[in-house]
Amino acid sequence: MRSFLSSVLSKRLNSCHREKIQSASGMRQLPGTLRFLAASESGESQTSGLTPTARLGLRAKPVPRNVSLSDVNPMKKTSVIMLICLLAGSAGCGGVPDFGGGASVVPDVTFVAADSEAAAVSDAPAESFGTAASGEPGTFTGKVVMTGSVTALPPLFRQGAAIKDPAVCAAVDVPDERLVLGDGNAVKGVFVYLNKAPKNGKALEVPAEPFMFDQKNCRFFPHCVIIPVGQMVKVLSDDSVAHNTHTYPQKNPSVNSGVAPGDREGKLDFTYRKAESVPLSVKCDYHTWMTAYQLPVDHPYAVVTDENGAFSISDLPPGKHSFVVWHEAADGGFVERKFAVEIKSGETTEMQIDYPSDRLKL
Amino acid sequence: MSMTPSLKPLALAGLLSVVAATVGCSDTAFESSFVYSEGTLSLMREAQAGTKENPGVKTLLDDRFGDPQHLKAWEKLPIDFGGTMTSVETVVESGDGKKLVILTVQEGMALPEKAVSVQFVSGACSGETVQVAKWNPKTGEATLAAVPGKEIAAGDTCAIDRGAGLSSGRMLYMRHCSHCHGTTGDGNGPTARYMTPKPRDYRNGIFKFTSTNDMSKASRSDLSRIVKYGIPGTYMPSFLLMKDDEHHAIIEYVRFLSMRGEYERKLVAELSSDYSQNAYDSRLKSGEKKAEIQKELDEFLAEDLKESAGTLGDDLAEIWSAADTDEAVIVPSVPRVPDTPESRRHGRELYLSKTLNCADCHGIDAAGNGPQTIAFEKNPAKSDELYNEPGLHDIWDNLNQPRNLQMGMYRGGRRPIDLFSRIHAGIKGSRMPSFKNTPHEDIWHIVNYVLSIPFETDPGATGIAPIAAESVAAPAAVTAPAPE
Amino acid sequence: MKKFWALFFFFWPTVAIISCLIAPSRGWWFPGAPMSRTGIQIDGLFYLILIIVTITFVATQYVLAYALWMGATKDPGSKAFFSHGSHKLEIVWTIVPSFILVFISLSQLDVLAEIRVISKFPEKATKVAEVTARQFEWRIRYPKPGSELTTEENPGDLYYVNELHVPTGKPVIINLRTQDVQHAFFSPQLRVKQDAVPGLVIPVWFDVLEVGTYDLVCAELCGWGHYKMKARIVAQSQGSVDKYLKELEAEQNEDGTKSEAAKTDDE
Repeated sequence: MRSFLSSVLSKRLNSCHREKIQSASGMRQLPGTLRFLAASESGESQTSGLTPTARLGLRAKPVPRNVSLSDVNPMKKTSVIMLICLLAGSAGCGGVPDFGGGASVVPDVTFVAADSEAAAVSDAPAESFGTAASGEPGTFTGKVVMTGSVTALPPLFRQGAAIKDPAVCAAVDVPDERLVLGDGNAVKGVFVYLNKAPKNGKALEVPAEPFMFDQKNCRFFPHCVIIPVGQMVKVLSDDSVAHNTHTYPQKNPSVNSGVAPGDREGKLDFTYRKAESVPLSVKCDYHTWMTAYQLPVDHPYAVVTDENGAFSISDLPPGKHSFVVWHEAADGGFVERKFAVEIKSGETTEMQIDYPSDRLKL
Repeated sequence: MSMTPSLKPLALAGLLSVVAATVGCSDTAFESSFVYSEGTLSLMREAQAGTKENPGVKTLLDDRFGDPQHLKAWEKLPIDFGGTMTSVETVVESGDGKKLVILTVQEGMALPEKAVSVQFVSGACSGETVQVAKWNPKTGEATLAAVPGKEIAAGDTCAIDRGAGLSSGRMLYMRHCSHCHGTTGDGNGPTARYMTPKPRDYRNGIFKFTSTNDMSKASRSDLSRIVKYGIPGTYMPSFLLMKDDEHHAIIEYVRFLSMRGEYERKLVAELSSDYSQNAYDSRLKSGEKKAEIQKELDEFLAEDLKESAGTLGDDLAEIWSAADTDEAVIVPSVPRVPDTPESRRHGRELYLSKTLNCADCHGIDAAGNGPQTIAFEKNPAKSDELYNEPGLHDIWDNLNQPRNLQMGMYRGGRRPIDLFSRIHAGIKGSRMPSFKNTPHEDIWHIVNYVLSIPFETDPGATGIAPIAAESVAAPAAVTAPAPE
Repeated sequence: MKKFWALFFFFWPTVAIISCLIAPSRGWWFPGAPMSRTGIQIDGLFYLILIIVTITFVATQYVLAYALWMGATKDPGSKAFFSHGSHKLEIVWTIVPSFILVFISLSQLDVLAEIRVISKFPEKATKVAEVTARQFEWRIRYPKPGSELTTEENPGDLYYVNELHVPTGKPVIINLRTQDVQHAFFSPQLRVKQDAVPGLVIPVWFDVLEVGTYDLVCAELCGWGHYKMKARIVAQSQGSVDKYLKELEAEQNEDGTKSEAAKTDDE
């Protein structure tokens, strides 16, 4: 390659070189590099030492004489046309398109008046009854019974198991509280409640004294509870290890705070301000199996079934009511979304709520 | 191609010009929009969009917050939307029919340098916005570009450039913040996918590093501190050099986005247990009729949701305003205990003790590798599904690594009061609980210990020997790191 | 037509020279007067090269313009002059520029050494801070007042971000590090520029002449925020710097119980 180039260069400096190039037919239009390579075409001896690519260059077809402007520079013409069309398009629409969006758009601000709606009417339930049309309040009692085949759950951990803080948390067997069955497959810990305070219902009485929420041997007591909105909940601990209480509500702010060992005063306290539509879980972050469920309500028509699966809700205004039946081990939580009950004036309606075992999701 | 070669560029040019014309002229071509949360999108269709008569979540949200090009400033919210409140002093009829209004401002306030528009708040012209043709900031003379419909009287209150703060906040936010935090403040901007830890999702209304107590929101000064000094150890840089008015505008806009997200979340909470798509499907399965559910939803939208729309706003206003009060700030009851070796030893004891259990997450040698970090956990908010990776998670479902205290990198600030606040109030949204019932002196001992950890020659060298292994053992198959 | 092209190629260099002459008065020039001692030397070198290059430029352009004009105004019929080149001319215009270049490279050696070679740093230079660049801010660490700055963090060190306080009137050293990618510590007014390389601690010294606030910008593309990676260098008297560090220390030891500071309000 080097010898080829040097021979080309030496020929270049030769004064009669220029005439040689011009004499080769049709070579005038070729770009510079080809001219170099083409120059040695006249010297046949040079081709033998050439690489294939260089030979290809020599074989480049000469450009025909009758060329027109559009073919020589197709790109130039296209780009001019495109530019004209683009400008025409944008000019036709009245200006260069507003590119960018985002930060370059100045937003306009419209003011929306603070609504003049009064503060919550729904917080306090309607007037207590006395309206004659309804009649005497009735009671709804019953039992939640699991139907279908079901076996009791074994304990979560046996006494002395190798779990965290075993001296305290595995001092006794740790039961699996997700499904606690009583006699005849009665289910404990099922929430039965009205979604909304009924019209003509009784007002909620908020106890002045706080509710004591305790924990012992790494279990919450009580496991399921109804808390009236506005009642203070004090968290106690009867364990010699630290716990932390972490609530997961939907409508109330979450609480996540440590509880000192052996705290019998309940230094940690909180109050629910809004009723929730489903019970919220309360967990301990250190001992992740510890769970409890609490349901803040703004009316008195909510209970949790006891160890016999029994419940009783009194002072219900007569009429049709639709109860929510909720259990932690049910698929989706709801055993029944609308358990219809007809309350007759002054009477007690007793019903059994069936909890099919195939609704369980353990 | 059947066309001759010379026609090809022409055709291409033609196509391009048509595209340019359509795209360039379209109003919505480059608009941004707020995204709706997962919660909203998991509701029934009618619950999301509402019906003709009754607004759904999306409608309520859009009516009160707007979209990024046309923002709505809901006066109920404690946000400084910008603008200067003034009142009309005199009205002068200028020669060419334009009205010249002289405005005065309250004691202690200043007339702004520029005035683009004037909104009348009280008086006959209340609600009208008029552009300002000429403004003299020294004398308060505003020449109005158009004549308002009714008479302007002296004493009418009006606002200059009302909403300008929100508007400029939005533009500054888009320039500086949105690529990480997203247009909606959902922490999902274009660059967020490359980041760990992820940028904050404002829509919970929760900010981690605050000086307020555990049940309060972040105050304006907390947000200001974060924006000014950044968060070391994360991708949040410091904006110290930003001008004060820009800084203020951005913070107000961030609060706006946060309140919007929270409002959406609260609306969804009202509906989700009964009217989410999943609930709808399970209700249909358990025998309820479609028409019944629809009717029930209509009633709910008409009565309950409309009512809640206002009260939820009130709640928001209350909690956010409360965050800026003195009561919300954590003030230790005792000054910091002197930073002596004894204090640090005591801090180490407390760290390892079962009362506080710090080592459970932060590890015996404070390397952030405690036993909690290796267990698989359940997500209580998602019906106890297991998380994909082991370890603790925060409410944004991100992996929440307990801080490695040996690094000396304190995200929320390295002042003693900052560390005190972290321990006292916990870190909101994360798994660091609050220890507000621990005596403040003890907290100071722990703070002294924590500040000394990066300079220890051996882990725990400033403290006593660690407590025996079995009290910090992890459950089941996981073995705890052996203490030295 | 030929005359047009001759004038065309004469016009643009003239425009270039005129632009350079009016540039300082229009502010198209240096970012302010040099505010550090090495800055003055660097500017001096710049001017030296500028003068040499200007002379060369004007001379060569004049010759070119002359040749063009002569060619343009030549009688079309006259025969071209073919030259076989001049060996002597080629030697001259190789040797002279090389001497000039060698001169330039030698004359800047001492300034380069002063800036870059650690053993040539001023003896009295004190280490005032460690500046760690990170995407997209500048983190500053001052040693505890009364202590020396070391490459390790020590208890009592003071931390800040995006604002560096240095004393004027004496040479100061900052240790430059980076937490993630390459950045560059660039202060245009102080004429200081040094790349920050991950893994290295690079001492950078400068001697600020006047009290003032100077820009510190990043000069090595480091990501999407590179363009706004700015900080302030605040040059004050030593007394003011000490006062500032004391205030910073007090702020850093803030425990929230002092009455007016209890609100931790920075606005």
